[in-house]
Amino acid sequence: MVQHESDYRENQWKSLVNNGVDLFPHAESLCESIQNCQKCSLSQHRKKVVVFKELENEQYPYFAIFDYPTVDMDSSQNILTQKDLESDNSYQIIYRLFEKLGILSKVYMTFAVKCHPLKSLERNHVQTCSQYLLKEAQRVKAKAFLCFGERAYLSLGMSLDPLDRENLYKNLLFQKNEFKVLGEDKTCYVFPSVHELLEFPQWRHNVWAESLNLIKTIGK
Amino acid sequence: MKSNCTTEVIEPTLQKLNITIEPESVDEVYSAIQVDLQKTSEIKGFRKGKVPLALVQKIFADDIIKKTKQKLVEESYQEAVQSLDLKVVNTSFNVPEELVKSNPFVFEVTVDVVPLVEIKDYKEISVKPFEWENTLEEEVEKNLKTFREAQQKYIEDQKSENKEEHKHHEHTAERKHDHDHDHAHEVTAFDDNMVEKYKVFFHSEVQKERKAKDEQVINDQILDEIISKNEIPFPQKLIDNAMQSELEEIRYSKEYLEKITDIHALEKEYPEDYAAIHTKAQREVKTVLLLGHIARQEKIEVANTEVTQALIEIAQKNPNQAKNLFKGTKGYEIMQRVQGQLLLEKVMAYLRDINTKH
Repeated sequence: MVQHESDYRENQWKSLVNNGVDLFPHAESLCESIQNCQKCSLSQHRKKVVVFKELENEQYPYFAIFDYPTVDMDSSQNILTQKDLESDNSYQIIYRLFEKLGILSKVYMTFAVKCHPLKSLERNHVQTCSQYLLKEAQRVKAKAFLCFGERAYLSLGMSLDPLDRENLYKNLLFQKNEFKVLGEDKTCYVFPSVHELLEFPQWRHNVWAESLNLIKTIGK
Repeated sequence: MKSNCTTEVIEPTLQKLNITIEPESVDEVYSAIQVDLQKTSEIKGFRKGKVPLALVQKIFADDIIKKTKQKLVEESYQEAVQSLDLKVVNTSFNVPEELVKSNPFVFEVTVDVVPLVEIKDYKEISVKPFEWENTLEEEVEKNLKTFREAQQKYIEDQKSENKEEHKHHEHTAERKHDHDHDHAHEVTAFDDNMVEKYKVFFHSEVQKERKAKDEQVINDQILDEIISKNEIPFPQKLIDNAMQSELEEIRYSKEYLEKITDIHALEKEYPEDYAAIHTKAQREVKTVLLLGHIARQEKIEVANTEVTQALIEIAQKNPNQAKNLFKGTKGYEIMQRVQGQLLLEKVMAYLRDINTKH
Protein backbone atom coordinates (compact mmCIF):
# COMPACT_ATOMS: atom_id res chain seq x y z
CA MET A 1 0.00 0.00 0.00
CA VAL A 2 2.74 2.45 1.05
CA GLN A 3 4.86 1.42 -1.92
CA HIS A 4 1.93 2.00 -4.20
CA GLU A 5 1.30 5.47 -2.80
CA SER A 6 4.95 6.49 -3.05
CA ASP A 7 5.03 5.32 -6.66
CA TYR A 8 1.94 7.37 -7.32
CA ARG A 9 3.56 10.49 -5.85
CA GLU A 10 6.80 9.89 -7.74
CA ASN A 11 4.90 9.61 -11.02
CA GLN A 12 2.96 12.76 -10.25
CA TRP A 13 6.16 14.65 -9.54
CA LYS A 14 7.93 13.30 -12.63
CA SER A 15 5.02 14.34 -14.82
CA LEU A 16 5.31 17.88 -13.45
CA VAL A 17 9.02 18.02 -14.23
CA ASN A 18 8.52 16.48 -17.67
CA ASN A 19 5.92 19.09 -18.45
CA GLY A 20 8.55 21.81 -18.00
CA VAL A 21 7.45 23.13 -14.65
CA ASP A 22 9.83 25.83 -13.46
CA LEU A 23 10.83 26.20 -9.87
CA PHE A 24 10.13 29.30 -7.85
CA PRO A 25 13.27 31.06 -6.60
CA HIS A 26 11.44 32.86 -3.78
CA ALA A 27 8.03 33.35 -2.25
CA GLU A 28 7.16 36.55 -4.04
CA SER A 29 7.49 34.93 -7.42
CA LEU A 30 5.37 32.02 -6.24
CA CYS A 31 2.70 34.46 -5.20
CA GLU A 32 2.96 36.32 -8.47
CA SER A 33 2.73 33.09 -10.43
CA ILE A 34 -0.35 31.77 -8.74
CA GLN A 35 -2.28 34.91 -7.89
CA ASN A 36 -4.00 34.75 -11.27
CA CYS A 37 -4.54 31.00 -11.13
CA GLN A 38 -7.82 30.02 -12.83
CA LYS A 39 -7.31 26.28 -12.82
CA CYS A 40 -10.30 25.37 -10.68
CA SER A 41 -13.75 26.69 -9.76
CA LEU A 42 -12.49 28.18 -6.47
CA SER A 43 -10.97 31.05 -8.45
CA GLN A 44 -14.46 32.35 -9.24
CA HIS A 45 -15.36 33.17 -5.63
CA ARG A 46 -12.04 33.88 -3.89
CA LYS A 47 -10.84 37.40 -3.21
CA LYS A 48 -7.19 36.45 -3.49
CA VAL A 49 -4.70 33.60 -3.45
CA VAL A 50 -3.27 33.28 0.05
CA VAL A 51 0.38 32.31 0.57
CA PHE A 52 2.84 32.69 3.43
CA LYS A 53 5.87 34.92 3.23
CA GLU A 54 9.11 33.03 3.08
CA LEU A 55 11.70 33.96 5.67
CA GLU A 56 14.88 34.90 3.87
CA ASN A 57 18.14 33.02 4.18
CA GLU A 58 16.72 30.45 6.56
CA GLN A 59 16.67 26.72 6.42
CA TYR A 60 13.32 25.06 7.03
CA PRO A 61 13.57 21.69 8.72
CA TYR A 62 9.80 21.57 9.02
CA PHE A 63 7.19 21.86 6.29
CA ALA A 64 3.68 22.43 7.69
CA ILE A 65 0.68 22.03 5.39
CA PHE A 66 -2.77 23.30 6.38
CA ASP A 67 -6.06 22.60 4.60
CA TYR A 68 -7.15 26.05 3.33
CA PRO A 69 -7.13 29.76 4.36
CA THR A 70 -9.88 31.22 6.54
CA VAL A 71 -12.34 33.97 5.49
CA ASP A 72 -10.24 36.56 7.35
CA MET A 73 -7.11 35.52 5.48
CA ASP A 74 -9.03 35.76 2.22
CA SER A 75 -9.95 39.34 3.06
CA SER A 76 -6.47 40.37 4.30
CA GLN A 77 -3.20 40.90 2.45
CA ASN A 78 -1.94 38.39 -0.11
CA ILE A 79 1.18 37.34 1.69
CA LEU A 80 0.83 36.20 5.28
CA THR A 81 3.57 36.08 7.88
CA GLN A 82 3.82 33.72 10.82
CA LYS A 83 2.92 36.67 13.02
CA ASP A 84 -0.46 37.00 11.28
CA LEU A 85 -1.50 33.65 12.70
CA GLU A 86 -1.37 35.04 16.23
CA SER A 87 -4.42 37.19 15.59
CA ASP A 88 -6.36 34.66 13.54
CA ASN A 89 -9.21 33.06 15.48
CA SER A 90 -8.64 29.59 14.07
CA TYR A 91 -4.91 29.44 13.36
CA GLN A 92 -3.69 31.01 16.61
CA ILE A 93 -3.74 27.49 18.06
CA ILE A 94 -1.02 26.57 15.55
CA TYR A 95 0.93 29.74 16.29
CA ARG A 96 0.96 28.88 19.99
CA LEU A 97 1.98 25.31 19.31
CA PHE A 98 4.96 26.26 17.18
CA GLU A 99 5.89 29.09 19.52
CA LYS A 100 5.89 26.83 22.57
CA LEU A 101 7.86 24.22 20.69
CA GLY A 102 10.34 26.95 19.77
CA ILE A 103 10.24 26.21 16.05
CA LEU A 104 8.15 29.13 14.80
CA SER A 105 10.96 30.42 12.60
CA LYS A 106 11.91 26.92 11.45
CA VAL A 107 8.58 26.02 9.92
CA TYR A 108 7.71 26.66 6.29
CA MET A 109 3.93 27.07 6.23
CA THR A 110 1.64 26.61 3.29
CA PHE A 111 -1.91 25.65 2.39
CA ALA A 112 -2.99 22.56 0.49
CA VAL A 113 -5.58 24.75 -1.23
CA LYS A 114 -4.52 28.35 -1.54
CA CYS A 115 -7.97 29.89 -2.08
CA HIS A 116 -10.71 30.13 0.50
CA PRO A 117 -13.51 27.76 -0.52
CA LEU A 118 -16.85 29.52 -0.33
CA LYS A 119 -18.80 26.29 -0.64
CA SER A 120 -17.65 22.68 -0.38
CA LEU A 121 -14.06 21.74 -1.06
CA GLU A 122 -13.78 18.91 -3.56
CA ARG A 123 -10.99 16.51 -4.31
CA ASN A 124 -10.14 18.04 -7.68
CA HIS A 125 -9.50 21.40 -5.97
CA VAL A 126 -6.82 19.75 -3.81
CA GLN A 127 -5.33 17.85 -6.74
CA THR A 128 -5.14 21.00 -8.90
CA CYS A 129 -3.45 23.01 -6.17
CA SER A 130 -1.05 20.22 -5.16
CA GLN A 131 1.23 21.04 -8.10
CA TYR A 132 2.08 24.39 -6.45
CA LEU A 133 2.66 22.64 -3.15
CA LEU A 134 5.02 20.08 -4.66
CA LYS A 135 7.04 22.90 -6.23
CA GLU A 136 7.34 24.55 -2.81
CA ALA A 137 8.35 21.24 -1.25
CA GLN A 138 11.11 20.78 -3.80
CA ARG A 139 12.53 24.21 -3.09
CA VAL A 140 12.34 24.06 0.71
CA LYS A 141 13.84 20.55 1.14
CA ALA A 142 12.46 20.11 4.63
CA LYS A 143 13.34 17.12 6.81
CA ALA A 144 9.83 16.55 8.11
CA PHE A 145 6.33 17.18 6.82
CA LEU A 146 3.49 18.08 9.16
CA CYS A 147 0.08 17.58 7.49
CA PHE A 148 -2.71 19.27 9.40
CA GLY A 149 -5.83 17.64 7.99
CA GLU A 150 -6.74 15.09 5.36
CA ARG A 151 -6.58 17.62 2.52
CA ALA A 152 -3.00 18.41 3.48
CA TYR A 153 -2.24 14.67 3.44
CA LEU A 154 -4.01 14.33 0.10
CA SER A 155 -2.07 17.23 -1.41
CA LEU A 156 1.17 15.22 -1.05
CA GLY A 157 -0.28 12.94 -3.69
CA MET A 158 -1.79 10.33 -1.37
CA SER A 159 -4.86 8.45 -2.49
CA LEU A 160 -7.79 8.88 -0.13
CA ASP A 161 -11.00 7.04 -0.86
CA PRO A 162 -13.52 6.39 1.95
CA LEU A 163 -11.64 3.30 3.10
CA ASP A 164 -8.32 5.17 3.18
CA ARG A 165 -9.97 7.90 5.21
CA GLU A 166 -10.81 5.33 7.88
CA ASN A 167 -7.23 4.03 7.68
CA LEU A 168 -5.93 7.59 8.03
CA TYR A 169 -7.81 8.26 11.26
CA LYS A 170 -7.31 4.75 12.60
CA ASN A 171 -3.66 4.09 11.80
CA LEU A 172 -1.77 7.06 10.37
CA LEU A 173 -2.89 9.84 12.68
CA PHE A 174 -0.25 10.95 15.27
CA GLN A 175 2.07 8.35 13.85
CA LYS A 176 5.60 8.78 12.56
CA ASN A 177 5.26 7.77 8.91
CA GLU A 178 8.06 7.43 6.40
CA PHE A 179 6.83 8.55 2.98
CA LYS A 180 8.72 9.14 -0.21
CA VAL A 181 8.27 12.80 -1.08
CA LEU A 182 9.88 13.96 -4.32
CA GLY A 183 12.02 10.86 -4.46
CA GLU A 184 13.41 11.14 -0.94
CA ASP A 185 12.35 9.42 2.27
CA LYS A 186 10.80 12.00 4.55
CA THR A 187 9.35 11.86 8.03
CA CYS A 188 5.71 12.73 7.74
CA TYR A 189 3.25 13.29 10.58
CA VAL A 190 -0.50 13.49 9.95
CA PHE A 191 -2.37 15.59 12.48
CA PRO A 192 -6.04 16.62 12.63
CA SER A 193 -6.90 19.78 10.74
CA VAL A 194 -6.97 23.14 12.51
CA HIS A 195 -10.77 23.10 12.49
CA GLU A 196 -10.82 19.57 13.93
CA LEU A 197 -8.44 20.61 16.73
CA LEU A 198 -10.86 23.40 17.60
CA GLU A 199 -13.89 21.11 17.41
CA PHE A 200 -12.34 18.12 19.22
CA PRO A 201 -9.93 19.54 21.84
CA GLN A 202 -9.25 15.99 23.13
CA TRP A 203 -6.80 15.64 20.25
CA ARG A 204 -4.59 18.59 21.18
CA HIS A 205 -2.46 16.75 23.73
CA ASN A 206 -1.71 14.05 21.12
CA VAL A 207 -0.45 16.76 18.74
CA TRP A 208 1.71 18.24 21.47
CA ALA A 209 3.18 14.88 22.53
CA GLU A 210 4.01 13.78 19.00
CA SER A 211 5.45 17.19 18.07
CA LEU A 212 7.84 16.93 21.04
CA ASN A 213 8.95 13.50 19.84
CA LEU A 214 9.49 14.91 16.38
CA ILE A 215 11.66 17.79 17.65
CA LYS A 216 13.76 15.34 19.62
CA THR A 217 14.47 13.50 16.38
CA ILE A 218 14.91 16.40 13.96
CA GLY A 219 16.14 19.12 16.33
CA LYS A 220 15.27 22.82 16.55
CA MET B 1 -40.74 2.45 9.66
CA LYS B 2 -43.04 5.22 8.43
CA SER B 3 -43.37 4.92 4.69
CA ASN B 4 -45.94 5.29 1.94
CA CYS B 5 -46.14 3.08 -1.08
CA THR B 6 -48.02 3.71 -4.31
CA THR B 7 -48.24 1.07 -7.01
CA GLU B 8 -48.39 1.45 -10.73
CA VAL B 9 -49.52 -1.63 -12.67
CA ILE B 10 -47.52 -1.71 -15.90
CA GLU B 11 -48.62 -5.22 -16.90
CA PRO B 12 -50.58 -7.86 -14.96
CA THR B 13 -47.24 -9.39 -13.98
CA LEU B 14 -45.19 -6.19 -13.73
CA GLN B 15 -45.69 -3.47 -11.12
CA LYS B 16 -43.77 -0.37 -10.14
CA LEU B 17 -43.70 0.50 -6.43
CA ASN B 18 -42.96 4.11 -5.48
CA ILE B 19 -41.88 4.11 -1.86
CA THR B 20 -41.52 7.31 0.16
CA ILE B 21 -39.91 7.09 3.59
CA GLU B 22 -40.84 9.79 6.09
CA PRO B 23 -38.02 12.12 7.31
CA GLU B 24 -38.43 10.89 10.92
CA SER B 25 -37.65 7.33 9.86
CA VAL B 26 -34.68 8.50 7.78
CA ASP B 27 -33.23 10.33 10.79
CA GLU B 28 -33.97 7.43 13.10
CA VAL B 29 -32.10 4.91 10.95
CA TYR B 30 -29.26 7.38 10.26
CA SER B 31 -28.75 7.97 14.00
CA ALA B 32 -28.91 4.25 14.78
CA ILE B 33 -26.22 3.48 12.18
CA GLN B 34 -24.10 6.37 13.48
CA VAL B 35 -24.34 5.12 17.08
CA ASP B 36 -23.48 1.59 15.97
CA LEU B 37 -20.35 2.86 14.25
CA GLN B 38 -19.48 4.98 17.28
CA LYS B 39 -19.53 1.85 19.45
CA THR B 40 -17.22 -0.11 17.18
CA SER B 41 -14.91 2.50 15.66
CA GLU B 42 -11.33 2.85 16.86
CA ILE B 43 -9.90 6.30 16.18
CA LYS B 44 -6.48 7.47 17.35
CA GLY B 45 -6.66 9.68 20.42
CA PHE B 46 -10.00 8.24 21.65
CA ARG B 47 -10.95 5.19 23.63
CA LYS B 48 -13.08 2.62 21.80
CA GLY B 49 -16.71 3.67 21.85
CA LYS B 50 -15.86 7.20 23.05
CA VAL B 51 -15.33 8.87 19.67
CA PRO B 52 -17.56 12.00 19.41
CA LEU B 53 -20.58 11.48 17.16
CA ALA B 54 -19.64 14.54 15.08
CA LEU B 55 -16.26 12.96 14.33
CA VAL B 56 -17.84 9.59 13.51
CA GLN B 57 -20.14 11.40 11.10
CA LYS B 58 -17.18 13.17 9.50
CA ILE B 59 -14.97 10.11 9.09
CA PHE B 60 -17.61 7.57 8.13
CA ALA B 61 -19.97 9.91 6.25
CA ASP B 62 -20.03 7.80 3.08
CA ASP B 63 -20.31 4.56 5.00
CA ILE B 64 -23.19 5.88 7.15
CA ILE B 65 -25.14 7.04 4.10
CA LYS B 66 -24.56 3.75 2.30
CA LYS B 67 -25.68 1.66 5.28
CA THR B 68 -28.65 3.93 6.00
CA LYS B 69 -29.87 3.70 2.42
CA GLN B 70 -29.47 -0.05 2.45
CA LYS B 71 -31.46 -0.46 5.65
CA LEU B 72 -34.19 1.99 4.59
CA VAL B 73 -34.64 0.32 1.21
CA GLU B 74 -34.62 -3.25 2.54
CA GLU B 75 -37.06 -2.65 5.40
CA SER B 76 -39.52 -0.40 3.59
CA TYR B 77 -39.57 -2.70 0.57
CA GLN B 78 -40.33 -5.75 2.73
CA GLU B 79 -43.10 -3.82 4.51
CA ALA B 80 -44.60 -2.75 1.17
CA VAL B 81 -44.53 -6.29 -0.24
CA GLN B 82 -46.16 -7.67 2.91
CA SER B 83 -48.86 -5.00 3.07
CA LEU B 84 -49.71 -5.40 -0.64
CA ASP B 85 -49.54 -9.21 -0.36
CA LEU B 86 -47.41 -9.53 -3.50
CA LYS B 87 -45.79 -12.74 -4.71
CA VAL B 88 -42.56 -11.26 -6.06
CA VAL B 89 -40.32 -13.30 -8.34
CA ASN B 90 -37.88 -10.62 -9.48
CA THR B 91 -36.94 -7.07 -8.43
CA SER B 92 -35.13 -4.12 -9.94
CA PHE B 93 -34.29 -1.23 -7.58
CA ASN B 94 -33.86 2.35 -8.64
CA VAL B 95 -32.32 4.04 -5.60
CA PRO B 96 -31.04 7.65 -5.76
CA GLU B 97 -27.39 8.38 -4.93
CA GLU B 98 -28.20 11.15 -2.49
CA LEU B 99 -29.70 10.84 0.95
CA VAL B 100 -30.39 14.04 2.86
CA LYS B 101 -31.04 13.96 6.58
CA SER B 102 -34.49 15.21 7.72
CA ASN B 103 -35.83 14.86 4.20
CA PRO B 104 -38.09 12.17 2.77
CA PHE B 105 -36.25 9.41 0.94
CA VAL B 106 -37.94 8.26 -2.26
CA PHE B 107 -37.08 5.26 -4.41
CA GLU B 108 -38.65 2.99 -7.00
CA VAL B 109 -38.78 -0.76 -7.30
CA THR B 110 -39.99 -2.59 -10.38
CA VAL B 111 -41.24 -6.03 -9.45
CA ASP B 112 -42.25 -9.06 -11.47
CA VAL B 113 -45.20 -10.56 -9.63
CA VAL B 114 -47.40 -13.57 -9.81
CA PRO B 115 -50.95 -12.21 -9.69
CA LEU B 116 -53.39 -13.89 -7.31
CA VAL B 117 -55.90 -15.90 -9.33
CA GLU B 118 -58.60 -18.35 -8.34
CA ILE B 119 -57.98 -21.79 -9.80
CA LYS B 120 -61.16 -23.60 -10.84
CA ASP B 121 -62.17 -27.07 -11.98
CA TYR B 122 -59.47 -29.01 -10.20
CA LYS B 123 -61.90 -31.31 -8.48
CA GLU B 124 -63.85 -34.14 -10.06
CA ILE B 125 -61.40 -34.66 -12.87
CA SER B 126 -61.90 -38.06 -14.45
CA VAL B 127 -58.61 -39.89 -14.40
CA LYS B 128 -57.76 -43.19 -16.01
CA PRO B 129 -55.21 -45.39 -14.20
CA PHE B 130 -52.38 -46.89 -16.18
CA GLU B 131 -53.20 -50.31 -17.58
CA TRP B 132 -50.45 -52.79 -16.86
CA GLU B 133 -49.98 -55.68 -19.27
CA ASN B 134 -49.03 -58.17 -16.54
CA THR B 135 -50.14 -58.67 -12.97
CA LEU B 136 -47.78 -57.84 -10.15
CA GLU B 137 -46.90 -61.54 -9.60
CA GLU B 138 -46.25 -62.09 -13.28
CA GLU B 139 -43.99 -59.07 -13.38
CA VAL B 140 -42.05 -60.33 -10.34
CA GLU B 141 -41.61 -63.78 -11.95
CA LYS B 142 -40.47 -62.15 -15.17
CA ASN B 143 -37.90 -60.05 -13.37
CA LEU B 144 -36.72 -63.00 -11.36
CA LYS B 145 -36.31 -65.11 -14.49
CA THR B 146 -34.29 -62.40 -16.24
CA PHE B 147 -32.16 -61.97 -13.15
CA ARG B 148 -31.47 -65.70 -12.81
CA GLU B 149 -30.55 -65.97 -16.46
CA ALA B 150 -28.15 -63.07 -16.12
CA GLN B 151 -26.58 -64.57 -13.00
CA GLN B 152 -26.26 -67.98 -14.67
CA LYS B 153 -24.47 -66.38 -17.60
CA TYR B 154 -22.19 -64.55 -15.22
CA ILE B 155 -21.27 -67.77 -13.40
CA GLU B 156 -20.54 -69.56 -16.65
CA ASP B 157 -18.38 -66.69 -17.83
CA GLN B 158 -16.47 -66.77 -14.55
CA LYS B 159 -15.93 -70.51 -14.85
CA SER B 160 -14.55 -70.26 -18.38
CA GLU B 161 -12.27 -67.40 -17.34
CA ASN B 162 -11.02 -69.36 -14.35
CA LYS B 163 -10.31 -72.40 -16.49
CA GLU B 164 -8.13 -70.34 -18.78
CA GLU B 165 -6.37 -68.82 -15.84
CA HIS B 166 -5.96 -72.26 -14.29
CA LYS B 167 -4.06 -73.46 -17.35
CA HIS B 168 -1.50 -70.73 -16.82
CA HIS B 169 -1.04 -71.51 -13.15
CA GLU B 170 -1.59 -75.24 -12.88
CA HIS B 171 1.91 -75.77 -11.55
CA THR B 172 0.94 -73.92 -8.34
CA ALA B 173 -1.11 -76.18 -6.08
CA GLU B 174 -2.03 -73.42 -3.67
CA ARG B 175 -3.47 -71.29 -6.46
CA LYS B 176 -5.59 -74.23 -7.67
CA HIS B 177 -7.07 -74.69 -4.25
CA ASP B 178 -8.08 -71.00 -4.17
CA HIS B 179 -9.88 -71.30 -7.49
CA ASP B 180 -11.85 -74.32 -6.42
CA HIS B 181 -12.89 -72.54 -3.29
CA ASP B 182 -14.06 -69.47 -5.31
CA HIS B 183 -16.19 -71.65 -7.63
CA ALA B 184 -17.91 -73.30 -4.74
CA HIS B 185 -18.78 -69.94 -3.20
CA GLU B 186 -20.16 -68.45 -6.42
CA VAL B 187 -22.31 -71.44 -7.19
CA THR B 188 -23.83 -71.52 -3.73
CA ALA B 189 -24.42 -67.72 -3.78
CA PHE B 190 -26.83 -68.09 -6.69
CA ASP B 191 -28.40 -71.30 -5.57
CA ASP B 192 -32.17 -71.84 -5.74
CA ASN B 193 -32.35 -71.52 -1.96
CA MET B 194 -31.93 -67.77 -2.38
CA VAL B 195 -34.84 -67.46 -4.80
CA GLU B 196 -37.40 -66.71 -2.10
CA LYS B 197 -35.31 -63.88 -0.75
CA TYR B 198 -34.89 -62.37 -4.22
CA LYS B 199 -38.61 -62.81 -4.83
CA VAL B 200 -39.46 -60.67 -1.80
CA PHE B 201 -36.94 -58.05 -2.92
CA PHE B 202 -38.29 -57.93 -6.48
CA HIS B 203 -41.86 -57.79 -5.20
CA SER B 204 -41.19 -54.64 -3.21
CA GLU B 205 -39.15 -53.07 -6.03
CA VAL B 206 -41.78 -53.74 -8.71
CA GLN B 207 -44.49 -52.51 -6.37
CA LYS B 208 -42.60 -49.23 -5.80
CA GLU B 209 -41.96 -48.82 -9.49
CA ARG B 210 -45.61 -49.46 -10.37
CA LYS B 211 -46.84 -47.06 -7.70
CA ALA B 212 -44.56 -44.29 -9.01
CA LYS B 213 -45.70 -44.91 -12.58
CA ASP B 214 -49.40 -44.99 -11.54
CA GLU B 215 -48.96 -41.70 -9.68
CA GLN B 216 -47.09 -40.11 -12.56
CA VAL B 217 -49.78 -41.05 -15.07
CA ILE B 218 -52.54 -39.69 -12.83
CA ASN B 219 -50.51 -36.53 -12.05
CA ASP B 220 -50.06 -35.84 -15.76
CA GLN B 221 -53.76 -36.27 -16.46
CA ILE B 222 -54.76 -34.00 -13.58
CA LEU B 223 -52.22 -31.32 -14.54
CA ASP B 224 -53.17 -31.44 -18.22
CA GLU B 225 -56.79 -30.93 -17.28
CA ILE B 226 -56.12 -28.06 -14.85
CA ILE B 227 -53.68 -26.31 -17.21
CA SER B 228 -56.17 -26.50 -20.07
CA LYS B 229 -59.00 -25.08 -17.97
CA ASN B 230 -57.08 -22.27 -16.23
CA GLU B 231 -55.27 -19.42 -17.93
CA ILE B 232 -52.84 -17.82 -15.52
CA PRO B 233 -50.62 -14.86 -16.29
CA PHE B 234 -46.99 -15.35 -15.28
CA PRO B 235 -43.84 -13.22 -15.53
CA GLN B 236 -41.51 -13.95 -18.43
CA LYS B 237 -38.62 -13.95 -15.94
CA LEU B 238 -39.85 -17.23 -14.48
CA ILE B 239 -39.82 -18.90 -17.90
CA ASP B 240 -36.34 -17.51 -18.59
CA ASN B 241 -35.01 -18.86 -15.30
CA ALA B 242 -36.59 -22.27 -15.84
CA MET B 243 -35.20 -22.42 -19.37
CA GLN B 244 -31.73 -21.46 -18.19
CA SER B 245 -31.77 -24.23 -15.56
CA GLU B 246 -32.98 -26.73 -18.15
CA LEU B 247 -30.25 -25.64 -20.56
CA GLU B 248 -27.60 -26.14 -17.84
CA GLU B 249 -28.85 -29.69 -17.39
CA ILE B 250 -28.94 -30.72 -21.05
CA ARG B 251 -25.67 -29.01 -21.98
CA TYR B 252 -23.69 -31.86 -20.48
CA SER B 253 -25.69 -34.59 -22.19
CA LYS B 254 -25.61 -33.04 -25.67
CA GLU B 255 -22.10 -32.33 -26.91
CA TYR B 256 -23.10 -29.80 -29.55
CA LEU B 257 -24.61 -27.57 -26.84
CA GLU B 258 -21.39 -27.43 -24.82
CA LYS B 259 -20.56 -23.87 -25.89
CA ILE B 260 -24.12 -22.51 -25.61
CA THR B 261 -24.33 -20.71 -22.31
CA ASP B 262 -27.60 -18.77 -22.52
CA ILE B 263 -31.05 -19.32 -23.95
CA HIS B 264 -30.80 -16.43 -26.44
CA ALA B 265 -27.80 -18.08 -28.08
CA LEU B 266 -29.72 -21.37 -28.10
CA GLU B 267 -32.66 -19.71 -29.84
CA LYS B 268 -30.38 -18.45 -32.61
CA GLU B 269 -28.25 -21.57 -33.04
CA TYR B 270 -30.60 -24.45 -32.30
CA PRO B 271 -34.25 -23.33 -32.58
CA GLU B 272 -35.60 -26.89 -32.26
CA ASP B 273 -33.88 -27.45 -28.92
CA TYR B 274 -35.04 -24.00 -27.84
CA ALA B 275 -38.65 -24.83 -28.68
CA ALA B 276 -38.46 -28.10 -26.76
CA ILE B 277 -36.97 -26.39 -23.71
CA HIS B 278 -39.50 -23.58 -23.95
CA THR B 279 -42.46 -25.96 -23.94
CA LYS B 280 -41.03 -27.89 -21.03
CA ALA B 281 -40.24 -24.74 -19.04
CA GLN B 282 -43.67 -23.28 -19.68
CA ARG B 283 -45.38 -26.39 -18.39
CA GLU B 284 -43.06 -26.50 -15.38
CA VAL B 285 -43.75 -22.88 -14.45
CA LYS B 286 -47.50 -23.25 -14.99
CA THR B 287 -47.52 -26.38 -12.84
CA VAL B 288 -45.66 -24.74 -9.97
CA LEU B 289 -47.87 -21.65 -10.04
CA LEU B 290 -51.12 -23.59 -10.32
CA LEU B 291 -50.19 -25.89 -7.47
CA GLY B 292 -49.12 -22.86 -5.40
CA HIS B 293 -52.50 -21.21 -5.96
CA ILE B 294 -54.33 -24.45 -5.08
CA ALA B 295 -52.25 -24.76 -1.91
CA ARG B 296 -53.34 -21.24 -0.95
CA GLN B 297 -57.01 -21.94 -1.76
CA GLU B 298 -57.05 -25.26 0.09
CA LYS B 299 -54.82 -23.95 2.90
CA ILE B 300 -52.27 -26.71 2.42
CA GLU B 301 -49.06 -25.95 4.29
CA VAL B 302 -45.78 -27.63 5.09
CA ALA B 303 -44.91 -27.80 8.77
CA ASN B 304 -41.38 -27.01 9.95
CA THR B 305 -41.08 -30.52 11.36
CA GLU B 306 -41.75 -31.98 7.91
CA VAL B 307 -39.01 -29.81 6.40
CA THR B 308 -36.58 -30.79 9.15
CA GLN B 309 -37.40 -34.47 8.64
CA ALA B 310 -36.80 -34.15 4.89
CA LEU B 311 -33.50 -32.34 5.51
CA ILE B 312 -32.38 -35.07 7.91
CA GLU B 313 -33.12 -37.68 5.26
CA ILE B 314 -31.09 -35.72 2.70
CA ALA B 315 -28.25 -35.35 5.20
CA GLN B 316 -28.24 -39.10 5.85
CA LYS B 317 -28.00 -39.77 2.13
CA ASN B 318 -25.24 -37.14 1.62
CA PRO B 319 -23.17 -37.17 4.83
CA ASN B 320 -20.36 -35.19 3.19
CA GLN B 321 -22.59 -32.20 2.52
CA ALA B 322 -24.63 -32.47 5.72
CA LYS B 323 -22.99 -29.35 7.21
CA ASN B 324 -24.12 -27.10 4.33
CA LEU B 325 -27.75 -28.12 4.77
CA PHE B 326 -28.16 -26.36 8.08
CA LYS B 327 -25.75 -23.46 7.73
CA GLY B 328 -25.75 -19.97 6.19
CA THR B 329 -27.41 -18.68 3.06
CA LYS B 330 -26.89 -21.92 1.16
CA GLY B 331 -28.62 -23.85 3.92
CA TYR B 332 -31.53 -21.41 3.82
CA GLU B 333 -31.81 -21.79 0.03
CA ILE B 334 -31.83 -25.58 0.31
CA MET B 335 -34.46 -25.37 3.03
CA GLN B 336 -36.65 -23.15 0.85
CA ARG B 337 -36.29 -25.52 -2.07
CA VAL B 338 -37.11 -28.55 0.06
CA GLN B 339 -40.11 -26.73 1.52
CA GLY B 340 -41.35 -25.86 -1.99
CA GLN B 341 -40.88 -29.42 -3.19
CA LEU B 342 -42.74 -30.84 -0.19
CA LEU B 343 -45.60 -28.41 -0.76
CA LEU B 344 -45.91 -29.42 -4.42
CA GLU B 345 -45.89 -33.10 -3.45
CA LYS B 346 -48.56 -32.47 -0.81
CA VAL B 347 -50.82 -30.61 -3.23
CA MET B 348 -50.35 -33.31 -5.86
CA ALA B 349 -51.22 -36.00 -3.29
CA TYR B 350 -54.32 -34.01 -2.34
CA LEU B 351 -55.37 -33.70 -6.00
CA ARG B 352 -54.82 -37.43 -6.62
CA ASP B 353 -56.80 -38.21 -3.53
CA ILE B 354 -59.87 -36.11 -4.39
CA ASN B 355 -59.86 -37.08 -8.06
CA THR B 356 -59.49 -40.85 -7.67
CA LYS B 357 -62.13 -41.29 -4.94
CA HIS B 358 -65.02 -41.37 -7.36
